[in-house]
Amino acid sequence: MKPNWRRVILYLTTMGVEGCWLYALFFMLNGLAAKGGLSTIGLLLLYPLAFAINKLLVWVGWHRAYRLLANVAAWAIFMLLMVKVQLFANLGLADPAWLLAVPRAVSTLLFAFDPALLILLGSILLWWLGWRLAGMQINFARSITEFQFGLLILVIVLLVAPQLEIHLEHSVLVALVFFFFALLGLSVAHAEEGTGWLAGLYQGNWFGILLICISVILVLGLIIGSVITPDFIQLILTALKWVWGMVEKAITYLVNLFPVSDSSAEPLPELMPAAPAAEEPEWHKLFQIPEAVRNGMRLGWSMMMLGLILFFLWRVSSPLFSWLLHKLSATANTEFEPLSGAFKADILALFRHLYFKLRSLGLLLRWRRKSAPTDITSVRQIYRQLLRWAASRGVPKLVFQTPDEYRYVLQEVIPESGDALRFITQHYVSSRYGSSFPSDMELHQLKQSWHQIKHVRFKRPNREDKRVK
Amino acid sequence: MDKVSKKLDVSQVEQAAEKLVSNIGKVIVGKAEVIKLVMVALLCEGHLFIEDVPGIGKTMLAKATASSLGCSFKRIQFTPDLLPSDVTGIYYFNQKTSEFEFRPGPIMANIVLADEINRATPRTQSSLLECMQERQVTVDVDTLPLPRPFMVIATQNPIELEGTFPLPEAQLDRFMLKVRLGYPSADEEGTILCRFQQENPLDSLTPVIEASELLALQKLCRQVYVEDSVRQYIVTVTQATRNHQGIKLGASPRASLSLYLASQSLAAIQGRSYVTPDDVKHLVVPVLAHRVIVKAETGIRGQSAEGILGEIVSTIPVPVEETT
Repeated sequence: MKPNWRRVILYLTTMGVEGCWLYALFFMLNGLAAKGGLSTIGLLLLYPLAFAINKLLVWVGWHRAYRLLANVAAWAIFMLLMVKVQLFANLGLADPAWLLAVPRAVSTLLFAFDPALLILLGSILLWWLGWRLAGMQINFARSITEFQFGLLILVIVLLVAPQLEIHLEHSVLVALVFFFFALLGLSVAHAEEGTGWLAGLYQGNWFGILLICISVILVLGLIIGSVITPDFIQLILTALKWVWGMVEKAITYLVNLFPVSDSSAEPLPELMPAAPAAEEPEWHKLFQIPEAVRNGMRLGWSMMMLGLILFFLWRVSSPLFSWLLHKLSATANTEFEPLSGAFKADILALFRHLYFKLRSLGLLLRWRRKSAPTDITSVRQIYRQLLRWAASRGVPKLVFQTPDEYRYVLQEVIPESGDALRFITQHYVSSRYGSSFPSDMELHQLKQSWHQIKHVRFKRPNREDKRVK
Repeated sequence: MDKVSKKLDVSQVEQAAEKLVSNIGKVIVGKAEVIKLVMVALLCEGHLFIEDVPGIGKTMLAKATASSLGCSFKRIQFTPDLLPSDVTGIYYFNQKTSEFEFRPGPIMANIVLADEINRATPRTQSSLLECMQERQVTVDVDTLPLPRPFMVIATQNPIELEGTFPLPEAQLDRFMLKVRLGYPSADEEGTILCRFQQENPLDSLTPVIEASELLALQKLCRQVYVEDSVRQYIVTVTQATRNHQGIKLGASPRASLSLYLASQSLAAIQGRSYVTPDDVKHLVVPVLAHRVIVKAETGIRGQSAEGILGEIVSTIPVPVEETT
């Protein structure tokens, strides 16, 4: 194959690769700006046009400054023509409305995404790409870059478009054409450098082999395209969201470990009674801790928690680092020999090690949770447990429900525990709103009531009954 | 055990409320909840606005309340020709002594019944503004304090609006509570007939709470503890009325203060030395409904102030234990 033809193919493939992701991108933006009213293919025509004009200008041999001016002029003319043809086909050429559309679109840039604005910005991008391609030397590295960048844009558009409720037509076809051009371009660029398999033993049959390879890829692409449906992508997204939710929960948990200073609001001077703080006995004051000491203790607590977190991270990561260092030192000053399957085996061993570590940690935590005595020290703690327990059985407390309102809801599903529920709720209310705390005897009774409730079977709650006045 | 209730014994308030409910209950049948609200207003030294259709017992409730308290009582029948001086009093020239003398109006009493208040002109209605808010009356250049406790009980008929003057917002805002009696049930109506067969039980009512006792109970109620989060809950509810789409004019800070004080009194009546969110929720409609102005379009859709307040209360989180 002659080198000139290879260059032509490289230009075509690069244009094809860029054309594919540009098509997907403009199709989505078209849906946003003009509800799909513009012709995406028509807009994309600016790209080969810009390429052809720039090649022509280079061939004519104009000075760079003149070429730039000519480019700007040509872009402006074709952009306005595009506005006229796409948006104002019914207006006469003499009508200034289509000429004013672009400045009007620019003036509303911050408020609305106008179709004229899409044509303006799109034409700038397309013209720049055409100008860039005309002056580009395409080699293997460039082809790889184009492929990677195009793939990234394509994937982003394919994921974003469904979120914007835009149905991307021919997405499978676009993806296949993209891969066709990308693979063809890569193969030819590789052969151009004389290092690929096309320049070797199979040089004589390269075209046939290339076609077979591309056919295989297209068939595989079609199969994959039929398997990866929007539902499948949604499933993957849901899984990713779940993972991210777990990460968020972990971060929230770690943040909650730090003590927060109590910023109590100032009481109303006239209406707020001084009780209970104002009437504390004298001996209480002896045990009051000054604010400075409290702050110091808070700082100390925070430092301790931070230290524990760092220790935990170090403890978890140190085996990994040790393993990596061991592997690294083992490979120093040694000759490499291919050891098929070694990498896979190492990775599997690592995952197995991590799995067993986590499992043992989980077992340890479960054992400790089981063996630890239920340390209930306040009625509020009992009430929290009651709320969690009821929520886990499908009767969560709604945000606008007061403790007594919620008690009525619970009594409907566990009527046999009515007395216990009333007892716990009454003590919780007096503790929560009246700063009144139960005696040891009462706390013991509260624990007994809670244990009694815990072992009761739930009636199936009626959803409408949950909203109790 | 109990830091707050050890210091504060509200059983006197609870007992007084029980006595009042029982005493008024001899005349007003089956309206214990409304009578409790009357007691709330008394304990806050707030003014009471009773609105309902004719024949329900509005005036009877006001008179029974006055009879149950060992306080002075005056009734003013508001008519279109009533003048402000007929309410506040007047300086007249005594020809015998050749001096101007002050003749106090009916406002100079502990309990004042302003019957059919919306039948008087706005000029006369306005004469109550200073009395209700500042517990004083200015006649000519003299400002005279009103006797304490001082309470205005006003009644209004929501129908037959011809020849009436709707109360301005400034006037309505001065009423702490607005209550409705509602029709009695069949059983209650039967009881009423039996009870009034021989004589009017109102005539035999005796005072159960003296004025000095009421003042002491009022002071006691102000000591009821309001936890920070409950206080914040009151503020949030009041603020929500100002931001609701269906409300043209939200509740004033005076409204949130009234809600705060009324919650304290209701808690004390129920024998508690602290306020719970239930107290606040219970009082939201009686305290706020007459103070908010519903937009015209909201009214056309059939939503009332009471309905909107119920909607607000059912969306605002109550300060309770977090499970997470």
